[in-house]
Amino acid sequence: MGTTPSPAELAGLISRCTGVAVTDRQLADPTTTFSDLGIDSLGLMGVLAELKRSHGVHRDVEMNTEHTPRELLAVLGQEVAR
Amino acid sequence: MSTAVVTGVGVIAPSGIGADFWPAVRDGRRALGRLGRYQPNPYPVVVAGEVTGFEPEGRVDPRIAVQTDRFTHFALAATDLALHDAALDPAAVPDYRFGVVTASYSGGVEFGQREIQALWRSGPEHVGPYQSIAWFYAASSGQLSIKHGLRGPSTVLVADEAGGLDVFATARDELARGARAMLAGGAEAPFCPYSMCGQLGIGLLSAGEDPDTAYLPYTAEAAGFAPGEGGAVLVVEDADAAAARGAPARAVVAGHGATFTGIGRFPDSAEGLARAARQALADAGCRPEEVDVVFLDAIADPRADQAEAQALRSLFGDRAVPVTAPKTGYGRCYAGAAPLDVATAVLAIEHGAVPPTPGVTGCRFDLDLVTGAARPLDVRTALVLARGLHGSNSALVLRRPETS
Repeated sequence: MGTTPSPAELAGLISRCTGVAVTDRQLADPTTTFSDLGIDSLGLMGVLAELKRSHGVHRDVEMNTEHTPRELLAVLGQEVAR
Repeated sequence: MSTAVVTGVGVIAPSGIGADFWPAVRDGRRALGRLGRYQPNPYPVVVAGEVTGFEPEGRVDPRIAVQTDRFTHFALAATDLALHDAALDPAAVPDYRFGVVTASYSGGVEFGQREIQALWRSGPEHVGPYQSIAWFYAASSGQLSIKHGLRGPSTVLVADEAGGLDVFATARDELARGARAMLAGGAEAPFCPYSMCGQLGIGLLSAGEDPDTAYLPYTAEAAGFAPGEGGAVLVVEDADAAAARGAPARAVVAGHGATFTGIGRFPDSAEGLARAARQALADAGCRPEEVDVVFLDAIADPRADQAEAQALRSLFGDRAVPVTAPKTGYGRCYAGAAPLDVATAVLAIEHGAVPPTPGVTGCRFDLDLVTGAARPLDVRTALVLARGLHGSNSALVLRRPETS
């Protein structure tokens, strides 16, 4: 399956899909949610769809905007591990 | 009864953006060229008016830019210009009293084409979620409402191209019902193959390959119109509210009328257009003799042009009323065309000049068509005409505010 994106790659993917310029440092913060970053539900849906298409993330993975990018990174790590 | 006045004008047009627009139309500069928005172009329409030099960067919030079509980028940028022109901070308008009405003909077609291609090339999971909102006719009104916190009446008119005039009637009605300010206008971005195929079916687009001769309404060479992109958004305010904040009234939205005479029945639009104009004049409390200038619809189809000339004759008889179609310089921008004509009429009232009809010589009708250079004229009352390609006819009367 796919490869786990690095935090910098995920930041680039989020910026491309949502128009929100995020840094890998912001993604590492355990308290910053997608909502805090200004990413709405459709934007997050686009990010997850891209990860499922290009990085082999399982189709059942779901998140909402109150989750944090850090949680997403953790999911990505598990996904590729399994 | 409240009075609706224009206090701000924002233009994104092939002829120019913002303050660059008036000098370009006043001087009859032409902005038609080879259609370059998509390549290759296998379609029999090669001359168009494109808004060159417009990129969302710097004009549209990147978060909004990725989730919206070019037609919404135009509307957002035109609105910023209009609010700046009006010196109006939306936050200063009482809550629920500022609304928005835009007209749309094509919707978000370029965005839609991209997603349709992704669907058929790669599968449904490749369609981005923003397709759900970007293509939609109401996208521009919605994004304007969200961006500027407009909680007043918000709507979109999908009412053929003449809907671009009807928005000003809607704005006026909402002001009469208690709104203090309205954004009114429309913008189009119709240049992608998917959209072009739909437009070709109308059979009214010019196949001419020379930008200088492709769009020549009212002449023996008339063979369809050159399409354009862009449009205008205007700030329309309650006159008392505008006066209270010291904002100059630039023009009064004085009267409106609309009729429908059927798809492809341009001969019938003669009476339809005349009736719409009479309604608009009656609504404005204005006699035909008071009209100083008419902004024409200019479809450049021989039957349609003739019907428009007949409508003018029935309105004005033998009186030679100056008429003009500045859009021959930049193309017919669908639902953005009428808002651009309204913007131009406001500027004509302000500047005391009627811009010309670029490129047109040898008008085959008995019209006082302004050609060549702008004509100095004390414009107190302007009549704007618009027809849709599917049978709508609308007329709007704009008047210079009385100075007390």
